Parts: sequence; C-alpha cells; structure tokens
Amino acid sequence: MTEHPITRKTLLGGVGAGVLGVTLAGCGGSSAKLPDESAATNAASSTPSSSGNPGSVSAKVPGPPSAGGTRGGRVINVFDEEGNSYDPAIGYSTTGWEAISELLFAALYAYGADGSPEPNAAAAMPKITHAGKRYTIPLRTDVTFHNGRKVVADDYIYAWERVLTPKLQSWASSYIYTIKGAKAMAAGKAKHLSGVRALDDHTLEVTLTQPDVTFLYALTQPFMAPVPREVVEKWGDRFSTHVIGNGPFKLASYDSQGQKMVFTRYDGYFWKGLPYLDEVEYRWGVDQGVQLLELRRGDVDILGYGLNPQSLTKVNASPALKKFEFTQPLFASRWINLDKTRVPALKIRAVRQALNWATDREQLHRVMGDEATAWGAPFPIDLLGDARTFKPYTYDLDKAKALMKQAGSPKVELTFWVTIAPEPAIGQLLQQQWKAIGVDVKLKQASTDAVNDLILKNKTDAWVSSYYAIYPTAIDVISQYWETGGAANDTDYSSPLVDRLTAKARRTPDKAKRDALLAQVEQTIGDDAAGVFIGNINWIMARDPALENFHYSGVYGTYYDRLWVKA
Amino acid sequence: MPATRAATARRALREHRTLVVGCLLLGGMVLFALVAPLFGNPYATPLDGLTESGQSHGVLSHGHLLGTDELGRDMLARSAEGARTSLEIAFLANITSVGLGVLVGMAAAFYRGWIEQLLMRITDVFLSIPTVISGLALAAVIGTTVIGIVAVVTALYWAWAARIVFGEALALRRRTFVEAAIASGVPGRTVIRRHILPNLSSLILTLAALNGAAVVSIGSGLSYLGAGIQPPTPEWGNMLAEGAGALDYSPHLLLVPLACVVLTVFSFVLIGEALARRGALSLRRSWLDI
Repeated sequence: MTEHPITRKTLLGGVGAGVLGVTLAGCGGSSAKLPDESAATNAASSTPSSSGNPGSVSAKVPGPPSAGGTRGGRVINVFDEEGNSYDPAIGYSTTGWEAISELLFAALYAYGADGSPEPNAAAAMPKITHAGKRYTIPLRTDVTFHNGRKVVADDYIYAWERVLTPKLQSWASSYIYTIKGAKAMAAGKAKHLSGVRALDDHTLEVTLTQPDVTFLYALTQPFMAPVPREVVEKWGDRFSTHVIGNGPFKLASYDSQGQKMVFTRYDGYFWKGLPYLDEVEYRWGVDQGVQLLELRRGDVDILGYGLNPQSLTKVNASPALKKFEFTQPLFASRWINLDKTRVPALKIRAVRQALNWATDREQLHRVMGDEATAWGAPFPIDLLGDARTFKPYTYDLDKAKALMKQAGSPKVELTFWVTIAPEPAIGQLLQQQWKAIGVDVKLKQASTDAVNDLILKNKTDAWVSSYYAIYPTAIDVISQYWETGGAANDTDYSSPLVDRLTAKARRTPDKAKRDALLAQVEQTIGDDAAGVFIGNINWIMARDPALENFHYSGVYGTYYDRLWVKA
Repeated sequence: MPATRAATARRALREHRTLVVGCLLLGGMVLFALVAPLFGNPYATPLDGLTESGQSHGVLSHGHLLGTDELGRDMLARSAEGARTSLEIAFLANITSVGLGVLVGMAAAFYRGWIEQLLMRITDVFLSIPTVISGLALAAVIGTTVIGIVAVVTALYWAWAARIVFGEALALRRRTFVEAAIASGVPGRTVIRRHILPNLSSLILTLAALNGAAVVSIGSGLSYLGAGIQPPTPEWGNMLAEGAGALDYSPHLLLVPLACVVLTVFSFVLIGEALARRGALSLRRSWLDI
C-alpha cells in the first residue's frame, strides 16, 4: 500500500469522464445538425456576445476536427455532484476532472484522433534517448496562463513537484514514480525532483529510473499541466476556486451556494481561433430525473455524468429522450473486490473461482441496461485485443458448486458495501445469486466517501470497483489495482509473477510483445480470481443534439474548445 | 326476531360505518401481510422477471399480478412482505410510543410537583424537535433494523401522547372519586391503575389509532429517505424510493407501495376518527362528516 489516502479507486470510481480508450480517446463523438424546432429554445445559443468566423484554426490541434466553427454562445453542463477540486493535482471526480482537463488546463500532449499522443502545449514530440530513460521536451513559446504570464519550463517542474509533495496527497503521484527522484520526494525525503530540469525556459529534460512506455501517456494528463507558482502561493488551499490555468477557458465565477460556476473564453489560448464559445456553465447537485427534464426543455445542453441505469431505462422507454443519448466507447471495467484477510474462506482460490462461476452476468447486464456489458475477465474487453488468452468467467452454477465442494464447503459470510447506483442493484442481485452456493451476503449502503474510508481502514469484506482507463494500456489498471503496492490495491493482492511481467511490459516498446506480456498478467489475475469480474462499463451520457461539432473524449470529457452553437 | 335484528345491525352499521370501513381496511392489510408467503419469494430475481431490454413487467403481465420491480422481483410478493415489515413497525412503535406517553402523562398528572415539572419539560423538549430531521439523525445513530426504527419512532412520538394524556389525567386527578381514594389511603399506583387508567382507555384507544397513521407515515418516510429499512428487505417506504424515479415508464413501481401506505394510513385515520367522535376527542366534528 502506498501512503496516499486518496486512491485511484476513489478517482476512477468517480471520474466517469476520466476515461479512455486509446483508439477511442478523442475520436468518439458526433456532430448533429440543429433541428429547427429546438433552435429557439436552445440554451446554448441564448447569449452570444460576439459572432462571426474567428479565423483559421490550425490543423495540428490534437483530437477531433476543430475548424469551421462560429464564435459566441453559451453551453450549460449539469452534473450530479460538485467537483472535488479544480486544482489539477487534486481534481479527480467527474466534474472536477472534466473542468481541469478540457476547460482550465492544457497538458503537454493530448490523445489524437488515432489515440496516439500528439503535441498540445509542447512544441513537438519528446526526444527519447539513453535507452528510453531520458525525455527532452520542447515547449511552445506562445503558451500563457490566464493572468497573461508566459508559461515556462519551471512552471512544469513546479507543478510536478507539487503533485509529489506529501502534504498535497495528490492521487496522481504514483503515475510519475518512474521519474528519477519522484519516490524520494513523495516519501518526504527530498525537496525537489532530481530527475527533471529546465534546459532553458522552453525545454524540459526528464530522466526516468527505468524505461517506461507509460510516461508519455502521463504527459497527456491534466495533473502534468503547468501551474503558476505565484497564484498557488497567493491562494494556498483556495487555489482550487481561484484557479489560473493555461487552457481554453478561464474561471469567471464560482458560486458554491448557488451550485454553479462559469468559465469564459480565454482569448490568449495558444491554439489560435479556439475556443468558439463565450461561456461554459457548470451546474451541480441536480437529480438525474430533473436533469433529463431540463435537457428536454432546452434549459441545459449536456448531462456531464453518465446516465445511470434508471435514467437509461427512462431514456430507452421514451422516444422523446432517445435523441439526447450519446455513447462513447472506452476502456472501463467493473469487479467486486474481496478482502481475504477479513473473510478467511476467501483465501481459498476455489471459493473465489466459485463466486465468479456463480455470478450470472447476463442477469446483471439486463438490470444495468446498456450501462455495462456482461464480462468476466479482469481487463476491459477491448484493451488486449487478440493477445488475450484468458477465457472470461461465465455463469456455470454446477461448476461453482463443485468448486465449493472441492474447497470443503466452507461457511462464507461477508458484508458487501455499496454506494450509489448501480451498486445497490448489483449488490442485491449478487446476494441472491451467491446464495445458491451457500454464500451469505449482508448488504450495507453508505456514501462513496464513507465506503472509501472504510476500505482504507480495512473494514470492508467486499465492495465494487469501477475502473476507467486513462492510458491505452492494461499497465494502467494493473499498476493501480493488481501490482504489489498499487495505489488502489486495497485488497493487498500480490503476485510476484504479475509484478515481474508488468515491470517487463513497461520496458517493452513493441505493442504486440507488450500486450502478450499483459495477457499473461490477465491470465494470472483471472485464474487467481483476485476479484469477481462482472462487467465492461459503457459510457452513455446525454447531450442536446443541436450542439455543433460535439465530441467527447473517453479520457477527458467534452471537447469544449471546438464546440459551437448555431447563431 | 330476525327482521328486527337485521334492522338493528343495519342501523348499527350505518352509525358505525366509519369504524367498520377502517377496521375492514386494516384487517385486509393485516391479512395481506399474514398470507405473504403464499405469494412467493420476494427476493427471487428470475431472469424472466425483466423484459429482454431490461424493463420491469407491468401489472397483470407475465404471470405477475402487480408486475415486477427493476430487478425483476415480483411486486405482489414484495408488497405483501413489505406489509409485514411496515405493519410490524407500525404496531410495535404504536404500542411503545403510546405506552410510554401514557406512563409519562399519568405519572406527571398524578404526582405533580417536581415530577410533573421534570417530565413535562422533557416532553416539551421532545415536542419541539422537528420529526423528520431528528428521525434521520436518530436512525443514523440507532440503526436501520426494525427494532431501531421502532425506537426512533417511539422517541419521536411518545411526547404527543404524553401531553394529551397529561391533560386528561390532570382533570381526572381532581375528580372527587380519585381524591376520595387518595384520602382513604389507597396507594398511588393503585389509584392510577384502578381509577385513572380505566377512565383514559377510550382516549388511549383513540390516540393509538390516530398515532398509528402517523407511525406508518414516518416509518415509511424514513425508509423512503434511506434512513429506515434497507433493501433488499421489502418495506413500503424503500419500495416507494425505488419506484420514485420510474413514474413515467413503470408507474406501478411507485403506485403499488403508495396504495399500500395510503390505505393503511387511511384505515387508522378512519378508526381514530370514529373513536374520537365517541370519546374525549369528540368535541369537534370530524372532517369525515363534512
């Protein structure tokens, strides 16, 4: 276990927006024409402060198409809950993650249309030398913060050191542990990050402790974006709500009581001609049933949280709502964690395998609607492709009973903690399904924060993990959940073989060879039945089809910088 | 003579129709709860409990009289099992809250002095606490089992009974036959048991009936708000919560438990009103007679 109380489980359970798929990042999305009848009521087009063609937009902007928009207008996104923070080192919940990823900050690189990292705030791809251990990153010279100051290399170093500062307890720190000196800094043994230096104002040099194919992916993440030291030092803990970034929109107002915040276009954004919108407004604290009504009325434009199973049922049952549905493919999966230290019978592998075989995922899928697909393997369906060797668990009650008998028919009683939808439904179904093999499940429900707290205190027998990839490789999920000492490895799963194979995969630049190694990792985790693997999550949200050039990234959220509305 | 007896019965039925309807309704709900096992397993989640697209079955479809819920469980079986839970809470909490209120009210009225001051100030404190908010807080502390909810509801409602019983017992305390008993050296507890309590019986019965309506409402209300009985245990309140978001596509998920709550509350109100018109609370005309 690491010393970080905020885990990727916390992050990824909530991120929702923080989700990817390599081939999917940035390339999902749709562009629909505005129906005449809804144009008049479209909130997005309500208050354009300026209009007209903003000029040519560079074809090098990474991600989906961005040219041809019309300036002006406002878009309103409504969320279930407030963001946990708008500080890029701390923000991880759905609302906060999207704000720091797509509005306030711009990372060095961003996933392109084909899912590969492309230069964003960097001037070019990094020069990789010293057998993959040294990255020299040229920075753009025209990037400025929202206060007008130019961004220089020291701002990146400051931001990365901040992520590693123990006091800040950033969930993202373990993502950059391969930088030389990072672990020492995170442990409080060093004050500066020895593996990073500024060659000049616009060139960074990074030294890793070992070759790591995931480091480039880390550079696409908002927690690696620059932050202005003078602003952070001025506001301290309140930086989150006085945040100054280098992204396409700047924070104009934050109203905690009114449960909304407004972002306005930053005219100094380095991708000239972008963004098109005058304003983006976030609202939160609204029930999803009400959100759907507001969307239908044209009062809001986007529902930022994915639709929960109940909302999906509602949408599927209503032709009037169906047109608002939007699906984004991504790499995400869900499983049940089992704490072997609290329930001794779970130490027996046959018992854990029996639970997997006794799980009727088709029934779960039917209840979840399209929110998840029945899937009995550790990694998301599309993450390994043809390299996969593990045969996913299916429903086989006879096999499950035989395994329980083989294990000596132990008495298994466990308390299953659930949080928000769809977890209560999952818990109730599994309670019934597992009863068939003599496993007695007691259900308890609490808030996400409360359950996370219980997990950290080792007071839970079983709970749900929902994982959304932010890297297009299984190393992401393994390093967080299944590697020894992973930041979200709350079951303390440990397999020397998994650790060895994963380390080797990190050093393997060839994707096919790397995937072959990762397939072995999945085989090991799956055979161990380290969890009860129940589904592949699908990201389904809702937005007004009248929005022009609407694109959504499985990693970052809505591409606001290239979104426009009809004048 | 049969004709005369029949006429008498008809007249009695007319005169007591409110009470009869209330008793029939409540009796029906109790019977519904008692025969719950006949309707099947309320926890079973058969795969065909939902449509291919994951929708719950509506009323009178696929062999489900009241349809299925969002997990494919039979709504009739769950409503009946929910009746057991809800009525168990209602009856137990009613007995404990009215019982405690009666004890406190009588003790304060009979012993007067510092006992009255202490007990009635405590009563005033409890009367001043907002029901729902304090109910949520108490449930979080005490727990969400049947016993826990009974304790919460008791804590929330005993003071009302205590206040009303106190007023009536105080009047009785000043009556000649009570003072005579005291003057004759009859022990206080005996006076309470033999002279005061019997004279409060119709009031207590009326209180219990009206309190029953409130108890059913608050018990279900706590579950609806997530502070009461937790799923998968069926209880009308948590069934209401599960169905609240489905009104526009599966209205039976909301309407079935709602009907159960409304009918039960209505039955208690009818009984309470009927008794009130004939007892200590009958000085005003019932809204049912308007």
